[in-house]
Amino acid sequence: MTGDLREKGDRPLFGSDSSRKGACPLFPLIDVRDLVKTYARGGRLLRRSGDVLAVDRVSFAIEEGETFGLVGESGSGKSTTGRCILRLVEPTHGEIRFRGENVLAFSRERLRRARREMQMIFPDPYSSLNPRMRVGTIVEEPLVIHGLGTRPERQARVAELFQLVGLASSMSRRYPHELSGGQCQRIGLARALALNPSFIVCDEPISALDLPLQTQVVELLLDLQQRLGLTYLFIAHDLRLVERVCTRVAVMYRGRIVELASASRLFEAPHHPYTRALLSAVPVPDPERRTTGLTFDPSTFNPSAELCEVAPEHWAAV
Amino acid sequence: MTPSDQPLVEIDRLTVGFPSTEGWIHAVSGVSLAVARGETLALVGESGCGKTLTALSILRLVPPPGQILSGSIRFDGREITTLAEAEMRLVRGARIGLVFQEPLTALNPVLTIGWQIEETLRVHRMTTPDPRARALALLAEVAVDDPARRIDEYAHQLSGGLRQRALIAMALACRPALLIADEPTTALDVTVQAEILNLLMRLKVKHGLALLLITHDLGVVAQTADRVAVMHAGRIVEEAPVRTLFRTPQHPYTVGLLREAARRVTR
Repeated sequence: MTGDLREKGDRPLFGSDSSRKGACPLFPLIDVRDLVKTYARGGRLLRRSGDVLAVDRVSFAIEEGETFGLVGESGSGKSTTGRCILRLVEPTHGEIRFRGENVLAFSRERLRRARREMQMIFPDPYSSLNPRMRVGTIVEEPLVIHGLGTRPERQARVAELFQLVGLASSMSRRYPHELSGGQCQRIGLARALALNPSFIVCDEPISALDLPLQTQVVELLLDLQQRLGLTYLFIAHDLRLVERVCTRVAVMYRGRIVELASASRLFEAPHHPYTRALLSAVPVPDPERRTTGLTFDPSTFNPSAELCEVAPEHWAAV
Repeated sequence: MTPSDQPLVEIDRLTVGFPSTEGWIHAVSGVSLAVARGETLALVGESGCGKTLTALSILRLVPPPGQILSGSIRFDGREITTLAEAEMRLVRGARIGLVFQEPLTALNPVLTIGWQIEETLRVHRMTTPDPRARALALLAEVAVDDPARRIDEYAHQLSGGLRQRALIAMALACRPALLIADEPTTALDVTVQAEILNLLMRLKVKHGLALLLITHDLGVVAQTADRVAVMHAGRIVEEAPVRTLFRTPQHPYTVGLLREAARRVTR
């Protein structure tokens, strides 16, 4: 039934997908090189006098099937980096490759098609859903925009997506305000999955939810990753979450990546003083052990330090 | 007048309900709690478990149509539930300070931080010869850098951490005996969270404040609380000193919460 939703020569919209596995072994799925994004400070007239460097020469690659974490405090440039990859924000400089293709060179039409492959989940589940649309319509909208399927086919797909994210399809008639935060986030996820993407940027996907709900949504994300062969870029400031779900993690500070390593390595042996301070600030759930609370002195930060390999596959800017 | 060994807050079998077509639905049912002077009590549970409503009851700020159906709340020896509204106003915001979760929505966007701190003093008729000087002193006390500049700024000009500090300054303006902090650090980065928690602990010791800390973060609880009460579905399922609770949790719900928290930190 969903097979009809397929465009000629395209991957099927749903179900196990053999074309995805090892589709392009030569290239990482996402390859970011020297990404720079500046914002003009103040009015246009004063433009030259002081641009803000939101993202400063950031490079990393994400392999197929990976969950790559970007952490850092607010303002560190992690969300801007995620949005640049999807070109929701136009980078000032740099290169972004998706399966080896230069995303920044894409025409409008090519970009539109590329968005079927690359989707986003937004931090605030309420404000990222149109309050005047029924949630079923919200989930259906990407299919309409991309001109896929007939109405009944799309509705069948919506029902399928609801089931996939663990919502009763009877909920599709409701409006966002009638749903809980966790349910709204599931709608956001269903919408992101509608076009059967291979890559999803999850920007603080659970920070607005409380702990038991966070766990549920995280389990769901991991489960879907297994079933659909998804690759995630996970943007979060919750280090405990990142430790649990990510394969590799990059730590950002003032627009720069200061450290990059596998999640286990980063949490066991943080190298950069900022990473150490960040990790030590997490309150330990044990009253017998005091949080150490190391501080990082911003004046010691050297923005021109390049990443060096301090251990195998462990990079730090020192 | 009041013996000092008596708890500052004593809640006895508090029930708060909301009307429905099938009668009252109890959002808080039969909750009994005590907070001693100078003590930090953490109230833990997931959203909707009634922890915020319990705290709002102490301030008699249960949002209508909800109301306190039964039980008693004694603050500093006085019964709160039957206090006249005029008298309640002398308690709320003056003897009991409140720090909200989301500092941006708790602050008025069109008034300066200084104005809002001074407003607290005005409303409670705190006789201060120079309210602005007092506001400056309060900002300095909550460790705001350059208070002379910040006092004339608006909420949107401040970072999340600074907004939360400004809110704490407002809550402290009338020198309360009890500070209720509802998820005070949930919206903040970990490094800022650590700073705010340290600040609260410092202020608590300095002023002998009792702190009612509402949170779902067991890391925060472990690092700050003296005692913990765990709420689930409107009831307190377990209450114990913090070390006892973490070492030997009794209720299955508490065990689950602790296991969940531990799972997320391997260090």
